[in-house]
Amino acid sequence: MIKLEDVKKIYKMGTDKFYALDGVSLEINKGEFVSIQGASGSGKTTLLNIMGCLDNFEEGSYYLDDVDIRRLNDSKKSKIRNKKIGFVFQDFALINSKSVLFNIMLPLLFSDVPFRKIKKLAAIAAEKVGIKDQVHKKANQLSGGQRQRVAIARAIVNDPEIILADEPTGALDSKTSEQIMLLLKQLNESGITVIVVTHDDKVAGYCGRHLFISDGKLV
Amino acid sequence: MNTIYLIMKFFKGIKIHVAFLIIMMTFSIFLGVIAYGTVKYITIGRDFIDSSEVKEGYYYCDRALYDEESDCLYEDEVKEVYRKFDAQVEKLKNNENVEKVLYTKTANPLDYNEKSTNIILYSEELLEAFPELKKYGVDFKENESACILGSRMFNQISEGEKIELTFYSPEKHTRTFDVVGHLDFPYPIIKISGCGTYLDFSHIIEYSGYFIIMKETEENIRMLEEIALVAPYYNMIIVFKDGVESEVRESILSELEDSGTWAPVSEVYDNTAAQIENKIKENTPRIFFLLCISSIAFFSTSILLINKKNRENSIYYLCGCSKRKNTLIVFISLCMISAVPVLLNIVFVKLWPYLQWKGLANFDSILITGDVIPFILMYFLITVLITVCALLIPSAGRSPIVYLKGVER
Repeated sequence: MIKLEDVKKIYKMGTDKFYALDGVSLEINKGEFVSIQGASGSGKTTLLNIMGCLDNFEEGSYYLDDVDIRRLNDSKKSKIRNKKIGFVFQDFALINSKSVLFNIMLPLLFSDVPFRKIKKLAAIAAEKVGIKDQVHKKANQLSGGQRQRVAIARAIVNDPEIILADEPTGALDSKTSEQIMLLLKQLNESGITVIVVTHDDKVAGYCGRHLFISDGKLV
Repeated sequence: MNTIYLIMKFFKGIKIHVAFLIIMMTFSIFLGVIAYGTVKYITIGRDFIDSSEVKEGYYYCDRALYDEESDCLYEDEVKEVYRKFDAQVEKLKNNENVEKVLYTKTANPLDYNEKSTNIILYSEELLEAFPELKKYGVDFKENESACILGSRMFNQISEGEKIELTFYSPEKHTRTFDVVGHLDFPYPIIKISGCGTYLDFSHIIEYSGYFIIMKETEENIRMLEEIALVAPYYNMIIVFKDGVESEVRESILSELEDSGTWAPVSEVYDNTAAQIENKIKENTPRIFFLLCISSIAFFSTSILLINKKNRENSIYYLCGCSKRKNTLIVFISLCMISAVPVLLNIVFVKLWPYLQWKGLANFDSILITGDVIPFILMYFLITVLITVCALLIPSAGRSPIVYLKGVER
């Protein structure tokens, strides 16, 4: 499903080059629950962003369902992000001034789903993550755990094949972290490929496969 | 529908900014339209003279006859003065050095639906000399006794129908005329009616809206004289034949000087052109300044609004919105903001003839026509395009995550 071949992400600083990813090759199959662990600045988030078609890379290839992502333009990558990938971030990446429902609806608003179905689908997603009663509140009126549930609801609303989670529990207490990880595990059990970037062994413990990255290389 | 919903969401929380922009832009464009109208008022007159055959002619005002008429007490005396004018014209026409003598006459007073109006008579020579008249609908289509309606109040009468007019001199007489057309807005009338030491287009052309145009034929004059006073304006434009020596010309003009004043039509044209230049000089810096200020306000407020929404946009990218779609949302939203003042002003331009007719927009020496609409649209497009381009620069070449991180920083 996901195949990276010798991927290099290079940042230029004057005449110096910094390899955020230095020849990463990996394959992730459908339905896997994978953790990517590493120290700060090791390149784990960069790797996740590339897998999520959120960032570009300078060398190597990335195939998602046999599609060469590097050759796609912004519109096509956006379509892939919209249809196949759901994102969960440490800081939730929600529009705080808007309602929970609007935040969950967002991926659907950029899809081909007819408008009349969008609210209904968003409500279903909210119910799945246990925030059905909060949908009319503004995102900034919720607790951290609830916000992460909103982010997960937004990530699954388009029925994606992959969920990419970058430190999903980084801003949560241990009890809420556990709930969120159980939620992600549940989603994985329903057939969604889940890739979690974390530096927390406990979080990684929920995953079935563990990848370690150091200085831009998989070890 | 999804895009429309997102556009509607764009305006949430920024209504006050948007209202400020709309008011400012509406006002600036409105002042631009008015300034354009002051110039347009003169340029139509200039174009009439410029395209005419009278540019080499001489504008003559017979003050003596004018004064004589003012002293008359009885209609017979007045008619005697009219006859003197006719004789003067006839004499000039018979002069072998004179190509044509142009003048107009009016038949009044008369009533249509209890509203006062006048008949103005154009000779065949006058129609030929001012080809611009045809552009505004003055074409008798070989119907010598027909009339052309020159006012909004006749709008309900179509071409081919008849109009019934009531004359009041000295008793009520009703006559019916064939209608062969309507004079178009701004209802320009060649009147050749003013006198003075400084002559400009307004002594030859008037935007009246209260005239019915008829051809000056012997038959029409005879018919009108039975029921009304057919009065000349005591002014004329004399065009000499090509090759007439200046001494001959001057001797004819100096003879006329005994009873009136004259000026070359070229002087009338030059005075008009100078007025246009002055108006442009007077208005351009002010309007340019106002439009620049409103464009800058639109530009800077838009940038502030978009910056305010940068985080939203970056989250849109995460959720699968392409840059193209986001640009479209921003472009349509900004178009909607600036379209309101543009539309308001276009509606004003379109309604102007009606507002003027109803006395609701009585600005002196201003003529607002549809010609200004392309300029309004051009301003709209330039402003929106510059703003959208400026807004796109920060996200150009940046991946969604770089954009998001940039916003968060």
